[in-house]
Amino acid sequence: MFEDKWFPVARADELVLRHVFHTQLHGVELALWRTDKGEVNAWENRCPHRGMRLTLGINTGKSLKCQYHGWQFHSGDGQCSVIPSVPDGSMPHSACAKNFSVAEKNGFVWVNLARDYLSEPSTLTHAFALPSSVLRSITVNAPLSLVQAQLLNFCQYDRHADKQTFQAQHDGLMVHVCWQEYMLQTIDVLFMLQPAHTEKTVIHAMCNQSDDELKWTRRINQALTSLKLEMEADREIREEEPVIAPQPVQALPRWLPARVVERKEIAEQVASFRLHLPSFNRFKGIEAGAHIDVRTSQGLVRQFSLVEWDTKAQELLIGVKLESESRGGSAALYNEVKEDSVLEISAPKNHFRLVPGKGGTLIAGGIGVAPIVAMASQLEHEKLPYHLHYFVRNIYSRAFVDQLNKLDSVSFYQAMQPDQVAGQLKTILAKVSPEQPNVYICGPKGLLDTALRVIQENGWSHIQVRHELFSNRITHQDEHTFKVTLAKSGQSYIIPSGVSITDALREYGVQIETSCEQGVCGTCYTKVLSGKINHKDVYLSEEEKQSGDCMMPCVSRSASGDLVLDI
Amino acid sequence: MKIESVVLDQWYPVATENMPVAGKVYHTRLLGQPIAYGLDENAAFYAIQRDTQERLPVLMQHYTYWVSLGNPPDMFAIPELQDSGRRVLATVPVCVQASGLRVVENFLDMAHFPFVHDGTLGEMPHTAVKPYRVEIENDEIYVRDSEFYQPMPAFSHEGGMNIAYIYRVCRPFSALLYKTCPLQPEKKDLVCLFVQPCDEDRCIVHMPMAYLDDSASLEELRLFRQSIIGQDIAILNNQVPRKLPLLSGFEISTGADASSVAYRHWLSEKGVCYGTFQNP
Repeated sequence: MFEDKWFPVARADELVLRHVFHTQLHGVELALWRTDKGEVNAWENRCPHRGMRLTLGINTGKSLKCQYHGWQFHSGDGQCSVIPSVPDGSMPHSACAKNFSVAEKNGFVWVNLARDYLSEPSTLTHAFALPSSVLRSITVNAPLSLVQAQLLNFCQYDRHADKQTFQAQHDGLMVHVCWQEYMLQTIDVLFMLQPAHTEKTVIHAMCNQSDDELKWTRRINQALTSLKLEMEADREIREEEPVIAPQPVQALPRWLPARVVERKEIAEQVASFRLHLPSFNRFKGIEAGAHIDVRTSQGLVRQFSLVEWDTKAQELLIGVKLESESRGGSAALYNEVKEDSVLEISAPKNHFRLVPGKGGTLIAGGIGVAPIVAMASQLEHEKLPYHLHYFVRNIYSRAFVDQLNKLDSVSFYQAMQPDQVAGQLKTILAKVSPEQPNVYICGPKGLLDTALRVIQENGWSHIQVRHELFSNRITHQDEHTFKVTLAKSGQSYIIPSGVSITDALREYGVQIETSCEQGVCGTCYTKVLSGKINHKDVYLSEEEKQSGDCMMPCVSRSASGDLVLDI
Repeated sequence: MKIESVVLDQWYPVATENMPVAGKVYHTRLLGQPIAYGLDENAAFYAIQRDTQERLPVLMQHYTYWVSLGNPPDMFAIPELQDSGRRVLATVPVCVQASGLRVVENFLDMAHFPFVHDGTLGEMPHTAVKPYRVEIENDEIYVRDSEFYQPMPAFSHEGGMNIAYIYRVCRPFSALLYKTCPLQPEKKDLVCLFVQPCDEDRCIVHMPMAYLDDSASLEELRLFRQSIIGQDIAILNNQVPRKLPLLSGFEISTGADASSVAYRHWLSEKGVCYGTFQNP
């Protein structure tokens, strides 16, 4: 829908500390903001929850917080990291601010609406050389073509500009004017035009007189103001509706080739893989808890947390545990992938994140220590309070000991029976205070379930648990496992206990579109041809549930036997 | 434009009982049409379509003056307004630069209380929204078992308490809220939200209320409610798009948004188009 082109949308100095700058391009409202580290973000000015303008939100230094419901979106990919109304940390994967490619160059911020944030601004070229002094920007309520035509007569608005030597030329988006001034060399002024909307244009002015910027700013400002007033005098200024932008083209393909630089046995049946990923340095805002998808040779998709990474060296470290009841994914990786193999991986995703600015109690079980050790590392680096509690079967199954030994606050628990684990978790969770209520858990489902049960039994409602649960870490319990057959392809898939139909199918490469992933919104509505359904959603009406011919596969399951879906 | 029957054939508010002054002619807009209304010399309410000078059907009920541009069904009943123990009042009418459907949806939402109405209807860190029940009865939406911790639930109540909310959406542009009365917790105060859709993306909100609270003055009750609406306007005027998107997936919902999802689904089933956003 939008041309693949870069436009100036703001002077770089307008993105001040903790500010959210409002601008518009082709009718699309943009929220521009800078993190404390200097990363620039250009997002659609619309919270994906209920459309509230993000420019009225708060720039926390690493994320944007929407004023309506307090949702927070992290710098870079715009993924939502906090939804206050749902404290257990479950996050629909679709909760993400729409991000556009953005670049900071020559004192300006440039945006390309056709591409997403991972694009490289290699296509940024200029018709004219850019003068060094960035002066000011002014908005004119008129179409770009008229503004451009008027700027070619700039000498009419600046009474000191020498008309004899005045020259003007344009290339569409830029108007270059120059003239000789008494006792000075040639004055070069460049006007860059930003088509904010069909009847609104922003003029960004620059000139080559860097010695007295204030004087030239005032002078150009005066001339442009006269131009603006004259152009707007006869026009009826209509308010134009903002345009909703379509999703920009993703710069990187779904699967990227990563080479295995090193494979090491680091614990009993656990191997670490150090991967080299070219273009890794383009990812902004990867935080502790991030994971990648890995696609095996058989086409199975598994998630692995990043234990460590180095964007400069373009390397990342993951751990693979050979699961005894593996459905093939971990076995393929553990047994077949060697050094110099090339793996297909996805871009890192940040669905499991630390709450900004606060410490935490970290609990890990088995290979679940992978994202947890990354989180502990980050908290220690930020000097926030934390303690890492690591539950393992025996001391030989401890993974990533090298990384753990670098941390100050770690406790190990080994060879505990389930009731001992429950008791230990109770001791740990009893110490969680309302001031530091965040608890992060990653490990087998039994560990998470026990922790949640302990919290509920003791009425500790101040504790905010965030957890990461990859389906490949769940043990199967045959009485709750069932099969789903897709009518169109005839293929059948096992849906294990504790894994939603949509999550399990996604692992096999079958995508059903989801949004809330809580049975509320209706996006994943799927027709059912046969099988008895256990409805767990709140979206379908009673009649629809009784009819048995449709379901919400993001939460609902089979009541007994297998299901045949009409997809 | 041709407006669908489910929207056209309805009663819409133009004023509350305390507003019009006898003999004065008032101008307003309803569903894109210019309207004039007032109280004639016998204090009877009338309304006319200004372009055609046609007399329009009018109704006085629920402390409000209603007008219709079509053939409306019977007005919905509100037994609580007949209760003589209650004080009935209304805020001033408030203009909102958004579709009336967005206003109703905001009215049903509780998750924004600790952010938009911090210190009164909600407070940090009590942001979690407990699961609640949404049911359809007599073609109206009822939201029950909705509870929220409020530091200042009413003007006269010091100290926070858990307040139970029951919402009832009677018509696409009319909804009611029954909330626990802090002074008589077994009874409910009533707040009405009657939206007058002026255009698809602009509306006027009329809010009659029936309170059991007799410790605060009428003026204090009115000002409290108006400050709440004032905070909501700051949000409502800044939602993009102004019209309500009905397509699921265009905006993301979570568990706390069950009432909003049910409202959108209900509007969709009824065939409501006026005030909705159609994704190009």
